[in-house]
Amino acid sequence: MSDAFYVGAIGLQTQQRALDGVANNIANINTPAFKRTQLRFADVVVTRPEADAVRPDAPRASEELAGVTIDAQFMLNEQGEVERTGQAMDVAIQGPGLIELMGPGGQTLLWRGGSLKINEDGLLATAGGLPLRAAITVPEDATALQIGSDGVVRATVADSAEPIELGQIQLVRIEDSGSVDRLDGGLYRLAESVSLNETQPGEDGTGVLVQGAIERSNVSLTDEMVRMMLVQRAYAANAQILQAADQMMATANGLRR
Amino acid sequence: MSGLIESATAILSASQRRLEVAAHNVANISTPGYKRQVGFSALVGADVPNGAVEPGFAIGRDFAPGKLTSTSNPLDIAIDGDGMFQLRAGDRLIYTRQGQFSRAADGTVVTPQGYVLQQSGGGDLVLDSAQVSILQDGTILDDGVPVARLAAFSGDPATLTPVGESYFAAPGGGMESVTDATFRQGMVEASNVEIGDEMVTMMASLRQSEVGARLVQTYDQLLGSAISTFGGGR
Repeated sequence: MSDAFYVGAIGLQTQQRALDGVANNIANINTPAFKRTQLRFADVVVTRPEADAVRPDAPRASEELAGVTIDAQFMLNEQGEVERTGQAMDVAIQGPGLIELMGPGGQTLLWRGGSLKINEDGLLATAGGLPLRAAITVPEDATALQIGSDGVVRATVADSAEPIELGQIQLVRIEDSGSVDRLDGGLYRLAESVSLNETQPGEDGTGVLVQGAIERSNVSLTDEMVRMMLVQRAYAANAQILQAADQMMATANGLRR
Repeated sequence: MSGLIESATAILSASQRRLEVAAHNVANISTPGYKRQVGFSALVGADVPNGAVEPGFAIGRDFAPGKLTSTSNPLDIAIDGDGMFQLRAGDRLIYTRQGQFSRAADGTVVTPQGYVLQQSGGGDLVLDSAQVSILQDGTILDDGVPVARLAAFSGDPATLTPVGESYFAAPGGGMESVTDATFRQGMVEASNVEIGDEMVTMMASLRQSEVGARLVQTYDQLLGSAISTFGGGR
């Protein structure tokens, strides 16, 4: 029957997905280094025959079923607030760069920083246990660790007055959030066919490392609340349309008494 | 007499079309750059020999500008004032005011549907980086160096054919480049749908369909009484 049913239903689905996105953002407002999802509404492409579109006198009343769709994009390059924690093992990135990690099976994962730890092999790793690609081995007798803003890691050891240099954490830059997939736990996986160029922190606009700090999420609660209310109203409006379409069908069904 | 039932059918179908228009508008209430569809009745068939007049139905577009809202996404671009972006869909050019772009892997700037944004003077816009700044006159700066220019086109809205909810083709050509277009980076133009208007359209179309239904019933009644009157008077 009428388009109104289907378009109304598509509208409801889309608004529901928008609400899911808003809910996810709000739920992660306190997750360190979380990047908010930006919802982008876009229209469904009409499956209109090509001939019609180029015929200037095509009746304009013959538009076919279309509707609305949604495209979620996370704002990877939007900086969150860098908050001091005073923990020597916390590291944040001030700038758009990412730290490379060695994921399971040798795959490259990317990370926006957070808490570090020394894993069972003595390597510097994320709190989740994934070692850094820079493969920095921390000696067992190290008493303190210093991470410079240029990524150079130094350790204070018992038998040396000067801190010894262990290695340097490199940063990579991703131009477009479309080239990475977001995984659980603040990790990103590189899409196929995207190459990375490692740079030293501070160079090529990758940003610098900040020790003793974590990056807050870039979710703004006011924005999300406003968005939530708009979504709610739009959902209700779509529901009204659906109800009206139903009522109209009932009228048609009641033609024969 | 049969004209009555035809008129009633026309009223019923027109009310349905009107509701469909409202459905499209409401579904796209959050779609940037969406231009409201306006359904209007037109008289057709006024010269039909038996004098029956049927209300027809046509759909137009309301090209009133929507409000600009900030998204802080560097490749969201709104045109302040007149003009539309030129896009390439396959090998044909289409136009839109929906300025939500992202950089594809090959450097082209594409809409969520994969249409490629065209630069000033024609040709695909290719960027080395998604972190560009765009001046209000459309000049694109990559690291302070001008690399390309955006262009806006405008034409007679009556000649534009919709090829999607907010994309248009100009089959007859006639799209002129707008020289004084103002571009705003990090912003999109909100849809120009007002929920109030659509709810009124929806209610009106519901009532209209009831009128049509009543007309059919009246006709049915008349016919019934005619049959019983003439049938019983034998």
